[in-house]
Amino acid sequence: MASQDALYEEAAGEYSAALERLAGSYEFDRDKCRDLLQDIHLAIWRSFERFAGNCSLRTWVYRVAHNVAASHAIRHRRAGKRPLVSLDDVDDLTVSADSGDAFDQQQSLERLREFIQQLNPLERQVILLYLEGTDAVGIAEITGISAGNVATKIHRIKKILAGRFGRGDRHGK
Amino acid sequence: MENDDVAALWRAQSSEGFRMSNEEIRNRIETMDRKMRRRTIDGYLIFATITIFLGGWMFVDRNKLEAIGAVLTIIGYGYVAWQIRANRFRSYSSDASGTLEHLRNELGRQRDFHRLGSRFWWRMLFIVPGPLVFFAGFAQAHPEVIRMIRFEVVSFVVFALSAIPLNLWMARRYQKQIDALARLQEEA
Repeated sequence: MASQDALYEEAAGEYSAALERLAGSYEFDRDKCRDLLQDIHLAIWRSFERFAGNCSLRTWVYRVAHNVAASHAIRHRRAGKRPLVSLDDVDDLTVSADSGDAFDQQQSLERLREFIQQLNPLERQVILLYLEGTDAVGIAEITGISAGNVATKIHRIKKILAGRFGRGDRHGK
Repeated sequence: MENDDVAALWRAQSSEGFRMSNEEIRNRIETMDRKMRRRTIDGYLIFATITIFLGGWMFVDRNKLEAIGAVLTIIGYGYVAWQIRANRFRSYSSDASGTLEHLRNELGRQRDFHRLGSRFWWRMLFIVPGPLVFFAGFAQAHPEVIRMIRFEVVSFVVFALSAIPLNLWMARRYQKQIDALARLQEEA
């Protein structure tokens, strides 16, 4: 088994961009995002003390990272903010109005981040893993939700994304 | 935009390539440990100061009620200092369990913190009576300030009592979230 340092080197090399995207989806503020990212990296490094190779490095890293982020979301949820919602309630959400320039990727990204940030931690994790290209089985392994349940959620996510991010293109074409 | 395009757009976000060297991580952990040790020492210092002050005060006024209050306060803060000592090795979270389990534990911890009978409430139970008895004794020994002390004590009691429903409400909120997770697992 590789050493704690070597495992961290490998994980950081492989997943640093994904971890940045994860932290960015929990914190818009640049400094807070960096703090969260540091916490995630520290937790991953510490966790490798116990890594026995029972799962893939990717699963392990994502589990630790998402758990740190989920704890962060619970602890730092500001009072007075709208409650976090489930994917099933997503139709009731208000997102920023479409400016008409649906091709603007930056705007689409901001809308996507805004949408993700309104979801409860577990479903936020499912959508983030889906966007990172993880399949239903992989998401189930990381989250602990059954693969069937994940598949249902992914189906819902696809529908929502198509509704929200497909509309602009159809208008544009 | 197709779903695959949305996912591709998500993954194409510019990255700073943030990573920490092993050396940086060790330094940061050392700094965090140092901060925690410092906080523990600060806790001991507060306890020592309170003990010296109240211990000395018992010989100034020589009022029985004040002396009982002082002893109760020292015991209460002693309990807190003991808890600080007991928790000083608690490590930072690096949980690698599934998120469902992690969230349940995390929410459970938050709920238990607010629930009656939690360590927080025991701490309150140890800390609060001592100063109240002490101030009652102080008012007995110095009747000229009785109105001010009465006002302070009543405000304190009202404030402390209002914390009970607030915390119970928080505990119920966390329990609802735990129940939602349990339903999700049952659906599986």
